[in-house]
Amino acid sequence: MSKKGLTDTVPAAIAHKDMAVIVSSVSKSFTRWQRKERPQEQGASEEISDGASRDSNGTSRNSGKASRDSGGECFLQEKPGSRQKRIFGKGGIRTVFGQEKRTVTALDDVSFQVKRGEFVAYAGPNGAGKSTTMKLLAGMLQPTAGSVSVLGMSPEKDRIRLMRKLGVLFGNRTELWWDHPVIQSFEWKKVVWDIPEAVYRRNLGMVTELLDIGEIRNTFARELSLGQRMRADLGMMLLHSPEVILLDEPTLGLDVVAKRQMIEFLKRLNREEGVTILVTSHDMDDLEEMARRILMISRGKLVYDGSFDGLRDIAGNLTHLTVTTDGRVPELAGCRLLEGKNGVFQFEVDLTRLPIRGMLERLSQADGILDIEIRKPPIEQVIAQLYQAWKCDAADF
Amino acid sequence: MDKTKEQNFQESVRLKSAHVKETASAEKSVPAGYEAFQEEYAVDNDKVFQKTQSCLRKKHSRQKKKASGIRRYFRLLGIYARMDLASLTRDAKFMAIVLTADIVSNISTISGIFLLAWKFGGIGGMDRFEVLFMLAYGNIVMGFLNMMGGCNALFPSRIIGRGQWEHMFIMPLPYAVQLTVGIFPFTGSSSLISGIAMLAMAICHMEAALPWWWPGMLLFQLIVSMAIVTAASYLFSSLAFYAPIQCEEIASTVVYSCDHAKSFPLSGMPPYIRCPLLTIFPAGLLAWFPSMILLGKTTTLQNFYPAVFALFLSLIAAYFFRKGFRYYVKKGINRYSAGGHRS
Ligand SMILES: Nc1ncnc2c1ncn2[C@@H]1O[C@H](COP(=O)(O)OP(=O)(O)OP(=O)(O)O)[C@@H](O)[C@H]1O
Ligand SMILES: [Mg+2]
Repeated sequence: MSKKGLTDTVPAAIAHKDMAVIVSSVSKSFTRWQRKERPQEQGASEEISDGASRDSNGTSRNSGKASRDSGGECFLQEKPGSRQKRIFGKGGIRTVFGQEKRTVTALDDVSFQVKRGEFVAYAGPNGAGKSTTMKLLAGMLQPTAGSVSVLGMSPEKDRIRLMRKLGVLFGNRTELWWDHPVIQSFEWKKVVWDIPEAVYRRNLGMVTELLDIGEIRNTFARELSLGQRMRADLGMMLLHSPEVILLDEPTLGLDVVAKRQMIEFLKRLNREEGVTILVTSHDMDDLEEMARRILMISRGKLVYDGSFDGLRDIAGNLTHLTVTTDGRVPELAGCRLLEGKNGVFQFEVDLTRLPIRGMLERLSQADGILDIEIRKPPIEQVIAQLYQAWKCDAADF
Repeated sequence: MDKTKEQNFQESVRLKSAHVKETASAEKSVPAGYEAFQEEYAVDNDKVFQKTQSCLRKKHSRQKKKASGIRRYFRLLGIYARMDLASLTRDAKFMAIVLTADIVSNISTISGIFLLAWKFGGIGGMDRFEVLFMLAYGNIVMGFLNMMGGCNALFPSRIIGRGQWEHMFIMPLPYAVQLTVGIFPFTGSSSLISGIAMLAMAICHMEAALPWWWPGMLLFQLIVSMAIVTAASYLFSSLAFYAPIQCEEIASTVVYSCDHAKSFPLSGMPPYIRCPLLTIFPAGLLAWFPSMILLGKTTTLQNFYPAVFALFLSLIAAYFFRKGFRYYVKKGINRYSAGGHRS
């Protein structure tokens, strides 16, 4: 989706009205203390020398210059100085205990927009900056640079007004009252969010039925299993009919049935109520099933914004072919054999080079074929390929 | 201003006020002389009418908002009170344990000092019932704050250190409201109730007749003392924004140390003990000094000291807490402890 195109044709004010989320040129950096990598810990024999040190990959870099490590974080280095000078000078204790202050760039000039009613997946490897983005949108953090707007409001300045329309759920924490039954937390929410009785009744009925909360409604939050707690949390989040929902790994710990239930529910919510949903997860199949658009972030930078099929294109879009034979190895020119065991053979085919008709012809000529299955490349595999590629890119910095 | 202009001006004021009255009764009739006035000053009749209407509407909606805001505040207090009652009455055994533990802890905190006062007929110029009054005052101060502390409002360093502020960000309420509505009227009010009972007993035994303004003064001093503990707690808690793990319990350390030290009557103590307890470690301002004021044992100038100190400390605490909060939202603490849930 082109941001530029949108503001070109529609006046900014109107374009913004239609947008649920606008993130423009947002950067977020954190400072943190951490143990300094010592040369001997890296297997190198020399001491840290003046003016230059080694990063975690063992590649030499100049002091005072920003550089990236394999984790993809942007670090600022300490000023050079002799070891003795450092021990007795400013920050000496730090040197003795091998501590250093580093700046981590969790988000680096990230921009995207989400239209009202969209269902967007937000994915990326561990530490990419997904939760940081969610926290920025929920007003839990403020950007170092750039601006964030949700439903035309600033999460920082219009917090109270925005929170009436925003639903936030982090998979690793609960909004339920720990020492009270679930229904008590729901009633508490009704008062705090000032939810009208009719809306509350309707939403309570809906979440109870669709998320199957009936049985756990009267159980204490601390006595719920992880999956039950997630369902109760999701139900609670929806009680005030939020217009935008931010979900950070909501399927964490859910069993297959509960996961399906949640996915179906979210899809229905998006389709029927027009709720805008931004969801992160590491389960790419789930994301593909839920969302039409995927934003991918890697090392704090937005690297992809488009459809899931577009991602497949980037990764080469190699179709997967499974051929079951009576044991004979099928001869399929133009198809790459990935693996074959007990008469089941996996091939990879580039359909742009070998059209489907040609492939079927070759299959019909092969002997001993019992069954075939043609699939799009699994999204998990595509993403894994991309993550690997990005990691390699990082090492080249 | 010449004569005719002044007359015209007065006439315009009269007409405007008449107009406001008219519009208030939603009748748009034009008073006598109005047209002439309009011609001379080219006042747009409709504009004035609309402006007045909108002013009235705004005022009305402000009043309505205020009333509904107050109602909402009480509803919030109500839901927390209900949750507290629900947790207390969940189990008879639990209820009995909680109440007994509360009573025992209350009696133990004051009994030592009171028995000493009883034995020696008073301490340092305060008679037995004046000591009892002081102990009661201190119990009311801490009892009320404990009752209001359902959401750790008195211990903000816990909220910060446990990552609970992340729950507060997403609630559509101002932080001040969130912090003050979490009451524990049933499980946290034993100290307040015992304080009130002790106060009544002490007042009954006082010889001097109390002036009519005395209850107001008592209330004022109580508020001042509470403000001092709260401000001290918030001031130290602002450190938790920078060192959340190390400072998670700093507020409770500050509050409980003041709480323990507040019960000692400082009358007759040397200045090198009294002064620090009235300044850098203001435990003396939580019970002893205000009691001396209320018992009429201070000078007029001294009477203002706790209020001035409270104001000063609150301003400093507000400054540093805000500063810390800005740091927190900029840096994030990325800490969400196992006890970070709402409980
Ligand atoms: N408060 C903080 N202080 C220091 N560093 C932080 C803080 N919060 C996040 N980070 C760093 O920012 C980067 C992005 O973290 P974030 O939690 O957003 O990743 P993520 O994409 O959600 O990863 P995951 O998939 O593992 O949940 C990481 O390198 C992390 O270490
Ligand atoms: Mg995360």
